[in-house]
Amino acid sequence: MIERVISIPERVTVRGKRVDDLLPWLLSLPFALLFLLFLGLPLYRLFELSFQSETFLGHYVNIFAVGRYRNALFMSFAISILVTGVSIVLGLFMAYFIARREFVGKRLVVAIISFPISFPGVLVAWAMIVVLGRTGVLPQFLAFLSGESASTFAIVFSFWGLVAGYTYFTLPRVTMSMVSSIEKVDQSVEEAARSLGATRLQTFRYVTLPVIAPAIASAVTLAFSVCMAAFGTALLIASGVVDILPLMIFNVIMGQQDYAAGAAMAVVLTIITVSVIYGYRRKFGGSVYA
Amino acid sequence: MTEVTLDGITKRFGTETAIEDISLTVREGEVLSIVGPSGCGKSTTLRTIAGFEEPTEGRIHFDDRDVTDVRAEERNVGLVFQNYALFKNMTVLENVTFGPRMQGVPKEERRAKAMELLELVGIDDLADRDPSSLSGGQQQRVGLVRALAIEPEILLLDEPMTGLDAKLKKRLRREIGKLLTDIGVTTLYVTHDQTQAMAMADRVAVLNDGHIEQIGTPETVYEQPANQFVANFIGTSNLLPATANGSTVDLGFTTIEAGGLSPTNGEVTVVTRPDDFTLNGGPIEASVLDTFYIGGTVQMVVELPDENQISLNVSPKEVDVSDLEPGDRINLSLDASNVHVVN
Repeated sequence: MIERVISIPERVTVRGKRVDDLLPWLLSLPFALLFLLFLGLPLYRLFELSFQSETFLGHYVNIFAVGRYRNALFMSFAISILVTGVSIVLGLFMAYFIARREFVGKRLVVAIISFPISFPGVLVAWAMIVVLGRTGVLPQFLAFLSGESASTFAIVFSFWGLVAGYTYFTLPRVTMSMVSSIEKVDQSVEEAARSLGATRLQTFRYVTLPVIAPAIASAVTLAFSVCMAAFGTALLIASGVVDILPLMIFNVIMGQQDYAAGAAMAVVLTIITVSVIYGYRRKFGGSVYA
Repeated sequence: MTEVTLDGITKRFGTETAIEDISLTVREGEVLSIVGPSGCGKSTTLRTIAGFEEPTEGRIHFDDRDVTDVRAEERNVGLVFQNYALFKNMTVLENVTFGPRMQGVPKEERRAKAMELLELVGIDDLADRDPSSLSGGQQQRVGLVRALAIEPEILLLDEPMTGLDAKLKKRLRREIGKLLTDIGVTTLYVTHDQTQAMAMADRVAVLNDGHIEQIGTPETVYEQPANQFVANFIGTSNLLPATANGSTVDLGFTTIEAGGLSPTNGEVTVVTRPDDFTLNGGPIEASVLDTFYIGGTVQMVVELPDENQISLNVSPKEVDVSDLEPGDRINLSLDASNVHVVN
């Protein structure tokens, strides 16, 4: 009888685990460490700091108990919701136009619309000041027409100035993120609806909207979280005029050196933006930025 | 039932003329088919009737009502698309009830009506399914029924069977044909497939380069094509140059009696069909170029003495294909009774 010996090659193992299986983990280790160092640690410290108060959750309670703080939180919400709404409505019209119409210079228009996406917040604020500031083009012109003082029309250092600045910031992002989704809508399906007696509005409501809803939700999430956290623009045009949460955090930390209170606010801000993004992912899946 | 009349419809896109001076009538309850090569203006004609394109010139009437300026959603036109264009976010039943829902038909009533229609095309058991889970043939039935649910003045079908496999096409053609006859809705059927057009339609309009070449029954456009284009487009034709001279037409290699066919004297074109030739040792000498056995028929390409090439169909019972080689000499006769002469 011939005994066949099938030899199984010895695997290289570390404590009983094959090296082949460990390799991906080993390779990701440096990134994991970086991740921990620059995301995990700061978040942990922020969290830890925010609890350092005389009473339990004192700084958190204060956010809702102290008028100024509560107001800042409310203001941030108000501006973010308003700007998101305005951006989505205007952005939908613009995205529709870009997706559906062929016209001379379309590429140029798309380039111009996309251009401000790369602007830093400070530049957006500067643009607002140049156009809507006290010596800005628009107030000067309106003052010339009406004979009143230019500062009557200089809305830049106000709630509405901030809304304008943020819209300037979010509108191109929101528009461009919805264009490709509208381009993908099968127009024969819309025509089918029209032929069946649906008006343009009904066609949009029942046929187009369900198809582009994920893209709109993504745009809403993007706009809202950007507005909630935006700081540079606000620092230049709203500092001392409109208190919003990021400015309040800045003031509390830099002005009052109250790191713990600032940390609590930062945690609240982070929770808000993260839950909005998480909510989107739960409902529609995928990344907001895709 | 509605009679639909196009009166001198012209549509230009910029400097491009898509259709020019189209006048035709789709009679009450009739199935009229528009055939033509791609880019001939079939789709533009259909979209103009549906209200998605505004004609540059001309008027459209549904019976006595001028609908030229009526919006698409108010025309009550049923549309069936090549790609089905079903609402993917709705079930089959919701697709079919969509039209009546927009028209304000009460829920129970529109549901009952939709189920009735779905039953008519044999897919009532799919009512609660998502359209995307249906086969192509099933989806197109939903598309058809959805369009019929609004009891349209006219049903417009835009290449509804392109993209379906050949067997299914044949079955659906029969089913749809029967359905349209039963319901008796005025129908315009647009296709590039002349077989579909001939099989489905009461009358066929041949469109080419934005204008109508001929309108007539399938028999008329096949047997009496108005010109070379129609002769070529509808079925297979052998177009042979000839000289007409009174009662005879001289093809060069043979002379045939013109009967009442020849409209003029002089240079004409004789339209012969592949079945007009018989391989029976007749007077016409030809040489074989190719033979194709396609089951039931043998298609042959032969060269005539004047070097014109023609196609002919012969029965495999008459000729054993394996006996024929390219270059072989054969003798044909031409049955002139079905031959048609165009200028």
